[in-house]
Amino acid sequence: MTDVITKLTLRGLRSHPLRFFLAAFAVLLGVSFVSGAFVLSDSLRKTFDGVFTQINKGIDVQVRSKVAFGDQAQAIRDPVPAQVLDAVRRIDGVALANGTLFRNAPLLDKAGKAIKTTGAPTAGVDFGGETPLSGTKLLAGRAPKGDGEAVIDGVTADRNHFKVGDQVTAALDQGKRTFTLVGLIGQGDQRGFAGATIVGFDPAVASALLDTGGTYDSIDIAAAKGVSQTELIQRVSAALPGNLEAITGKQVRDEATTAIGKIFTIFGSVLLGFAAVALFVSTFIINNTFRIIVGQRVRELALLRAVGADAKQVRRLVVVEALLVGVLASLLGLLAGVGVAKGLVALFNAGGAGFPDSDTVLKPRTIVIALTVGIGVTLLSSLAPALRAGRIPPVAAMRPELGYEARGSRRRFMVGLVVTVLGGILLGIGLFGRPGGTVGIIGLSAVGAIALFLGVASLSATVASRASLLIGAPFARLFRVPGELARQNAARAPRRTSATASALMIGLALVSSFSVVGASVKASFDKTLSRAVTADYFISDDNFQGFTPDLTAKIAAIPQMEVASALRFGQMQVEGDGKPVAAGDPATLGRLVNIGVKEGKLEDLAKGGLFVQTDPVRDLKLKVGDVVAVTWPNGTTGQLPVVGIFSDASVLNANWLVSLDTLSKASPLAPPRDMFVAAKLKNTADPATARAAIDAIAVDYPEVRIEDQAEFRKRQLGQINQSLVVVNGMLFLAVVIALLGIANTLALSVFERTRELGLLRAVGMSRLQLRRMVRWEAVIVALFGALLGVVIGTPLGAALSTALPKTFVSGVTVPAGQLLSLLLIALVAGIVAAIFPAWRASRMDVLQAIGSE
Amino acid sequence: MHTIKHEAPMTVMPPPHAAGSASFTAAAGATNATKVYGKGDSEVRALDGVSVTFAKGQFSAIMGPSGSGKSTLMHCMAGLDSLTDGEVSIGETRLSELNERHLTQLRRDKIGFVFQAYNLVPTLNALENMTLPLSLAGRKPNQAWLDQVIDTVGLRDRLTHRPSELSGGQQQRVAVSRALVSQPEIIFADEPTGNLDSRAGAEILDFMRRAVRELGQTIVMVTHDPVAASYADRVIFLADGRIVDEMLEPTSERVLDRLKRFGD
Repeated sequence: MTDVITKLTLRGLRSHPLRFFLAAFAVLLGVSFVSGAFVLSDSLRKTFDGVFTQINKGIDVQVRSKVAFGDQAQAIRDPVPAQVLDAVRRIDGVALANGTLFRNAPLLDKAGKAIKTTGAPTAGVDFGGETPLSGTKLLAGRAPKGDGEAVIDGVTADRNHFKVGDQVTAALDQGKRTFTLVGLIGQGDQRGFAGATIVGFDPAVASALLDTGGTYDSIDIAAAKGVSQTELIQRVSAALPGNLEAITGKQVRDEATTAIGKIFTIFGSVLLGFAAVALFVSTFIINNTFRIIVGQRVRELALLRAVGADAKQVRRLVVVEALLVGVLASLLGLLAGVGVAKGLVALFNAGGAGFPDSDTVLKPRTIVIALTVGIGVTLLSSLAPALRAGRIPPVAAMRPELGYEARGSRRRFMVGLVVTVLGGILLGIGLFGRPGGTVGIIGLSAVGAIALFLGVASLSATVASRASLLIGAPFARLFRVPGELARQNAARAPRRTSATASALMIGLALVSSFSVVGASVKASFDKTLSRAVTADYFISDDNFQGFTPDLTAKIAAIPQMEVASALRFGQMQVEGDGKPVAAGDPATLGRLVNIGVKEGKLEDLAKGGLFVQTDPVRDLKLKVGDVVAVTWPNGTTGQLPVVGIFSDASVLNANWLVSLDTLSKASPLAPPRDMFVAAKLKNTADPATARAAIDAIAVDYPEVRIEDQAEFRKRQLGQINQSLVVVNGMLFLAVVIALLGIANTLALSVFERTRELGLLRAVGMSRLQLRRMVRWEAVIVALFGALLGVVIGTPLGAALSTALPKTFVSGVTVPAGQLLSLLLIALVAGIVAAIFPAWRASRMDVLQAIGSE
Repeated sequence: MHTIKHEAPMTVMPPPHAAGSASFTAAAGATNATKVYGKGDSEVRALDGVSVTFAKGQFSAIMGPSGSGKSTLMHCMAGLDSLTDGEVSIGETRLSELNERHLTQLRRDKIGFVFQAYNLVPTLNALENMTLPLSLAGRKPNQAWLDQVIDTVGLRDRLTHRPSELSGGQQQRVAVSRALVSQPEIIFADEPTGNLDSRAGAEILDFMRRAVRELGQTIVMVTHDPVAASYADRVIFLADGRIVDEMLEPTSERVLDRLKRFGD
């Protein structure tokens, strides 16, 4: 026998599909983001794993420099002297050994402009033809011979319409050089190198062209037949100086896949974070939908009770319904997730990310998590409505008004208050107490924020009526009867209004808090720029690869230039911890930036000492004259005396400062690269002529960006804006779900008020007026949610800004205009959300409506 | 005149020669039933010490003006609502001694309902609505009995129709069948003809009377319609939460006369 409850559920779903469609859609969106995040990171990881395995397949042993601390896979290593290659080649058991090079060498397009990547390297490599050691494949033509020929990667060639036989120009450190393109290369089975531009030279001349100073990045070795990797490692290691190491090919591959895996884990986690927000918002929508449906079915459920259903059966009716909605929505969400993953790859590739074609990886783990989360969220959201349904007394079958059992609003208020305060405290501890590192900070903050949102959502029910009347007042004034009815409708079901508004609140609270953080970061940047920087020009590059100090020297030599000073960045280990360290020119740095020197003179850095920021000075109890033992990444150690103390780390983004010489001496083999140059004109100089002189030099360095203060500021602020756009774009999903919620609630309300709406029509309300009434109700609810969101989000953003490192944010700025525009967006969103319910309301048949139960 | 005037509250004794009842047994009864809504100034005594017994195999009607407590009495008798004071029992079972679970079982197994607004489940067809209480209990209907009920109400050709495809009279016949199919000890009907035109109403009432006479069912009906009341074997009059009168073998004229006197 089919269970009657299941039968009732299925029939109910079939006869009111729309009732559940929007709730299901909210789950679907959330689940699709969750599964999309997993599918995307799994697929990319598998692809890159494949690529790395393929590339490094032939390597049995690799020789490279040691790193003393930090992440082995991601460390920047010293190069390997070229003579080591000769030594290695002489070792018995080495079948083949090649030095590898991967140095900065941007390519120019046919118009002579540097070909840009989105953060991927622009590299020059040595390529002598396909070897078992390297995954680099010749796609067309042949390998380059001599210093007049080159090959480039297939993707770059395709995009810029280069073909074999063309002339191609590279902006080398020694200047622009033009080569005959004799071939195209790819990596494994890919035409490109994951978004990088690659130019390959004859190994015999590559070192000279790339100014390596007679070094390689590493040496790859293939073992002779019959020689095991372990045996070969022993032989090679014995021939190496102490600062070099030999590792197995497996380790090379593992490190590469681990490194890329970490990136995708972070990437996936960020996507999952947004998915979690979307799902959290969904719970409000689903919960509200089920609550309204239970309310509308009081009579039917009471009837079941009257004819013999027990409370458990009625509860089961609601839960089974939720289960079916959850299962269906989760399955569809899982499918949509695959689409989301593919869409994101396409989106990133359109932006030039150069992700290789990948199989879609749908792991069982993804399916389990997506279904668990989707079904779980739906069931959880239906729990309270189910309990409430079970409490409907049978007598409500005859007197439906007895079915509504209002919970004490006072108790509700108290619980809401306690949860809100608790959430605030947890959030505060998470952001400012920082127990348990990153996990602790994020965990506590997230739990705190969730509690805060739940608490405020609960509190908002007690003010929903008054707030709706207040917000609705102008609408009543402007739109007369429809406006007034809209206002009263929003006010008469405070729980419903508050639950609907809360969903929007969460999205907009996050958007407004990020707006506050963004504005604070921008304002802090402006403050730093105007207070601490006196330079007129800034030189930097797109890919954080740096540029040759020759450029800095040439800029400094311009007659109108008073001073130009370079900054470089590195890592060093102090007291067992790796620290970012900045390096500057002791003689000129102080004339361009003000880092708040407390003690000592920057010029003293020339003697090989250290400037330390006040925070580590306090933490490590340092004073001028103390000697700090440091270890550099390549293992060399130093005893650096503290020669000064400074307070403002925001310009250097580092708490430790040494001279350029100190940094270079630490790793003499590494080619010196300036990362950032600030330059200042003489007072008497004419900016126009100076700029012309600078541009004349810059022509030879197309990959380098030279900006005046206004340009520099604009780009930096633009970057902050861009990340805000990305974050808000992700949060947009949560806002869309909230809008679905408004549409859903209104559609259900319209259904519930069929009789009342019919009556209004019968006594003379026009369709237009009816539509207006529904529309303004939606707008009132949306505005209420947006107001709550901004009211919560602003202090949240202020707290976040305060919690961020001082080098990043030095004060809180509230972007009032932006926050106001959020309200405007909410207004428009309300109108959009009302389209469907208003259409339904205006379409109903008047007579039928009045006759309906 | 068989009308007996009582001082309220008082016990209404079973009629000595009620039509259709072979021998007297109580199907349900109330003793000093009191129901108070609200508190303090807003206190309303919906039932004020009502004691009454409904005999097995009898068709009783409860009448009274609006607010007289007739619906409340029925709801409390049926275990849909609880008393503030006093006791109601169905057969030998005292409702105050039952917990929620047993009360549900009692409603399911011993009591049938017919509502004014039909109250069919819109997503179930006629047959499924009829057998709903049994399905909820996880039992199969007695096929012979089911057939007999279906034929008596004349719905054989409407069994697979949804309520929305049935007329009001047909819907109410389904509702009455639903009450009958589970063979309860007693059926409570709340204004069963309130939403029907007189012809459909007469059909239902006639059918209910046949259920009592031919199938031996016990029915208690709340109504304000003297014509409906005239189908019953016995009419009990309520006013202000008390039983004020009783009439055996009523006719619509006599009931109407009696009701008119409430206005005095």
